[in-house]
Amino acid sequence: MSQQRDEIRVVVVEPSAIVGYGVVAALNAAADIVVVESVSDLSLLTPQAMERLDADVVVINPSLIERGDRSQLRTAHPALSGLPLVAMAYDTFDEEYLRRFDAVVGLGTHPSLLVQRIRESVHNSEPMGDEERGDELSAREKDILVAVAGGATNKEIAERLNISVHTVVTHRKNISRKLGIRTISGLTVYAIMNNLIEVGG
Amino acid sequence: MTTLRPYTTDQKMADLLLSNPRLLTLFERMGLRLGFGERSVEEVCAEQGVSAHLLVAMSNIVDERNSAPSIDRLVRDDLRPIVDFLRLSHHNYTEHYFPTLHDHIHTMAAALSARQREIINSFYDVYETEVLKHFHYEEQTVFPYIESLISGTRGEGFTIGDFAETHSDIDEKLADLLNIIIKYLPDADEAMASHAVLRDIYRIEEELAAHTLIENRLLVPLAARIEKGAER
Repeated sequence: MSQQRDEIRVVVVEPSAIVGYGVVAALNAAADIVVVESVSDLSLLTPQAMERLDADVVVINPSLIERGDRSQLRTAHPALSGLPLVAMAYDTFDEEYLRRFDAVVGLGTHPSLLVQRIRESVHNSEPMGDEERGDELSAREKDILVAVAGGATNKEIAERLNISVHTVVTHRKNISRKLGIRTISGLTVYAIMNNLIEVGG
Repeated sequence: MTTLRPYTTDQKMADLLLSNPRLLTLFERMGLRLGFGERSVEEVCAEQGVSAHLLVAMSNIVDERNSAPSIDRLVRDDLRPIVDFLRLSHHNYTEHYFPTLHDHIHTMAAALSARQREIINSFYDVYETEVLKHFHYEEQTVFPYIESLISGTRGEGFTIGDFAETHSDIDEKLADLLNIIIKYLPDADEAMASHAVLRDIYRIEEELAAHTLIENRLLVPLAARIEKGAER
């Protein structure tokens, strides 16, 4: 595991106060989860704030992301890059848009299921062992991919993400296995095709 | 997967070409003229001044019947047609395959957004540049060295072992491009252009694989044997 800590740190971004309270209450009831911030919109989540909060996952209402930014969810706002995102969706959204989230919950979701989804989304962003096979890249793998595409070495990535070089190598193997892409330039093309990085980045 | 029987010098020459059209390019490059009649590989080769053992070894590689043929029956003079074959192969890439692929890639990329178009095109350009650089190295350094082995005028310095070590792997990028196009290219109106690119890549992959094997399994070991002075 990349992070040696037991609690999952959650940021909640929900415009409805009553829904926000409900999500926070449900999550704080779980022994392994702590809500480190609950806000009504993204503007309060500056990069500095995100760094201080050291969150593991963000629960966010998908309507808070501007329509034009939805195809590039991960780059729409600093708070959305590099972390698993759980959608609290209670309006109608494009299925394709919702698929970009690591999990989707709604007003009908039972609190225990919400907790479970949060755990899964964080767990899935950890390096996978050989016994686990998934097709989509986890949020963590996307971070690594973006760093690799940006020309960072394994050592630099390890320092930046505060994980071991060994973990970075494992992530990279998993990325190449999932995508079938091995070269750094191939990974860069993939990252740009999927709007994971800005051009020239 | 069934393994086909490797070709031999005593079978009918016509049967090689009849059984696999992939050998046509090889036959062309070896300068073989058609009209084989019922004559054997050995007979036709003797008539046309081509090395029968070399033709069979190369046919087995190209047709994937035996990717590691023995070089025991090959001699120093076989180095010349191998180098000629590789030179012609390079020429074919630079004059036909790459320009075609380049055009198809650009047509395909035209349907993408500006940044996607730019990255696909530049990925291809970098790939092509790398391959051309490798070809250039072979033509400027390796082939002249082989030619010096043939003429017995080899100087100090370069040995075939140096080539084996620097033999870069350029197949990976092509495989990546295949993956990207098949799996990750955004839905494009230019589906036909994508198919054309895929067809180009399959053809290049296949030929490049044979090209690499001919270098690694025939040229390098044969040159190494001759370097050791096992024969004059």
